Amino acid sequence: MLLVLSQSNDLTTDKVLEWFLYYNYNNVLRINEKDFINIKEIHINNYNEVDFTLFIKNKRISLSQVNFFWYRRGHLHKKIKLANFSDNETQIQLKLFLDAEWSICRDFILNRLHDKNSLGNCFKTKVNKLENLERAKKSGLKIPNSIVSENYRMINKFLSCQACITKPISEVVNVMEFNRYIDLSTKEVRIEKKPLSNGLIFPSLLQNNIDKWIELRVFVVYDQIYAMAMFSQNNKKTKSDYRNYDNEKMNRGVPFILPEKIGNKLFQFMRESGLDTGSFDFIVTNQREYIFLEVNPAGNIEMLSESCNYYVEKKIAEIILKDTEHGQFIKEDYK
Amino acid sequence: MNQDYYKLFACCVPVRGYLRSAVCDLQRKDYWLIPNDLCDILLKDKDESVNNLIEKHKGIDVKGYFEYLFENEICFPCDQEDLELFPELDKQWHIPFEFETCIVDFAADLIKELPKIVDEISDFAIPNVQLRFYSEISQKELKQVINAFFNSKIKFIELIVPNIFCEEFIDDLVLETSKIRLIVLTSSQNRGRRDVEQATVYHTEQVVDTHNHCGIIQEEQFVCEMRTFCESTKFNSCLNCKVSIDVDGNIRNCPSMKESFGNIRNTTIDEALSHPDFKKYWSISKDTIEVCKDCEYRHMCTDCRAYLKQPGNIYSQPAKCFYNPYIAKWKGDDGYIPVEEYGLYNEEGKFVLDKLKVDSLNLELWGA
Repeated sequence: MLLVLSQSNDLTTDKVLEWFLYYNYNNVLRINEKDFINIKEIHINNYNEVDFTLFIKNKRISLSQVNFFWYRRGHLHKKIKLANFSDNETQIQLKLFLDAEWSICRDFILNRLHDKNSLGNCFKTKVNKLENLERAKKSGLKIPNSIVSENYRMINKFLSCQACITKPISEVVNVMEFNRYIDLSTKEVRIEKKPLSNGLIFPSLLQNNIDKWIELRVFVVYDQIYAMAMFSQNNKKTKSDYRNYDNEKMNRGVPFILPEKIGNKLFQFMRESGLDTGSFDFIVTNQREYIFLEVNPAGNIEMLSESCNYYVEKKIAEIILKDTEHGQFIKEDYK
Repeated sequence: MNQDYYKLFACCVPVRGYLRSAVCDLQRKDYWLIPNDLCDILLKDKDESVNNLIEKHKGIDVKGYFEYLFENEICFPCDQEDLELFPELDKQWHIPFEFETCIVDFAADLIKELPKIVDEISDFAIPNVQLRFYSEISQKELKQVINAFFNSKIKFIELIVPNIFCEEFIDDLVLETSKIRLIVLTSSQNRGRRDVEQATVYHTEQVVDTHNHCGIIQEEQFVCEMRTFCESTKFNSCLNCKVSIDVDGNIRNCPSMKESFGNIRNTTIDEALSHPDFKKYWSISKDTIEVCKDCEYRHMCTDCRAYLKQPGNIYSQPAKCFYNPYIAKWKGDDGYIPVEEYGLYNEEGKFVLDKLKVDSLNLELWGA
């Protein structure tokens, strides 16, 4: 059986599963993040191999049935109900305790699933941009010069040497203020003549603004690379971040062949980070240098697949099927 | 960086016609009409610098052409070393279904067969269904039909129905039935288009009371887009992956096609579809159809294999096409002359063009 963990609104999962059905492989169970999960048993003893049995969406599933685990997105959640305690503090403490209890079971289950043939990794979805910059550099990739500081003078000094952008160190989140989202996407920054009133800012990430020729979105699944070049430099709205979409004049996104040299460094990076799939962002400078920006282990695949006519979803289905008991069937059809 | 070379964006694909060409922009879903001499440069002189091309084609305004191409983001300037980084578009086309669309033409007595039709379409995992009504139907009956499909595995519903409904009813219908993507209200008081949630609702004054209204080739129906384009390079733009049930319950590739593969009352869709001739027309691509193969619109056109200029010749031009690609004129344009006046189908079913006649007419119409 193929087990998929995803979110109910993930179109990529929908499409890949359609291809499974097309190839006559029905032995698929898709768990969405909000699905109800019940542990029937987890056996850890002196006599047998570790096994567990879960009830998911009223279906019984044991570890031994799973031959492939595809982690796409989301997590295994448990609704934790607690009796009402008069003391609110007690309630909070107990809730924390139960959360911790569940998370150990959950991680154990997910780890055993990852021991099977698998694609994606739920323990690698939280990215640490700073770690990744360091790791990319060690893998031989070029990165933007970056500083994190809460010191006003340091930041101005950095800014005085180069044009800069700032972006979240973690991920962009949606924060509402007066019915509008606060824009937390990548922004250009300039030196402020007047220091902020108290001279203090929260630790912020600054990177030198790279003179870009094109941006790349590179999707990797195992050893296969699908790259798209995006021409966003002509468009003021998308100049510092292509995600500030311009709907009237959609940025050009076309198939791109990532030079082998860069591809090898990318694979090196993935080995170092324990990733078998991911979406990478690069900038190619006017001098044709390839600068690593960030990686998203569970990024958007659809846009790249459609713009470049790659049929990535079909390829993912074929790759997974090759690794399940269904492998023989697909071979004839696999081009 | 010199950047004196150029590259077409892979999503901008030149399609050469007899008199002029089109660049299909599959990403922005649009097209540009360009002269053939420019199209030839784009197709043949791919890896040359713009300066070389200016030298090479002295009679042509290459510089002006490229200003236009860069301005409209059809091409981009680059270095010679960059050329190999940008592959051409892989024009592959796949769907994870054997059939993509099912047309059901409803008449009163076919509604009785509704559960059977829905069941069988569902079994085939056909994602899109188009329901067409040629006579007025009550709100209650329409809802009954739509609900039958809504509760099945079908993903998208399109509806063509005579307009006896108030706006409110249609809006509610769309809201209640998230699978509805398109509604065409025929016999309406006026023309119009509005978006209701996930669906587009068209009003047209046109009366559509039989399937004979189908097959008209119109510029407004052209679709310039990745999937349509790629499909059209290998398969028929209309009939590929399609199955239909006509008003009498006959199972056909399209309701207007002559061949019937059985009746829904006594044949299963499965039986009908397994007939070796069911997919006979699927691979007739626009590049293999007479006259169409010389047309710059061929990969955005809807095509029709039911009504043909030469009824027995399945490779002849759609009968209801009123564009003449040899002179680049639509019926109604000044100087329009039908294709037939400039050529004849020979015994092998090939359209033989009277080139001399066409070229001299073009000189008159368009100048040197």
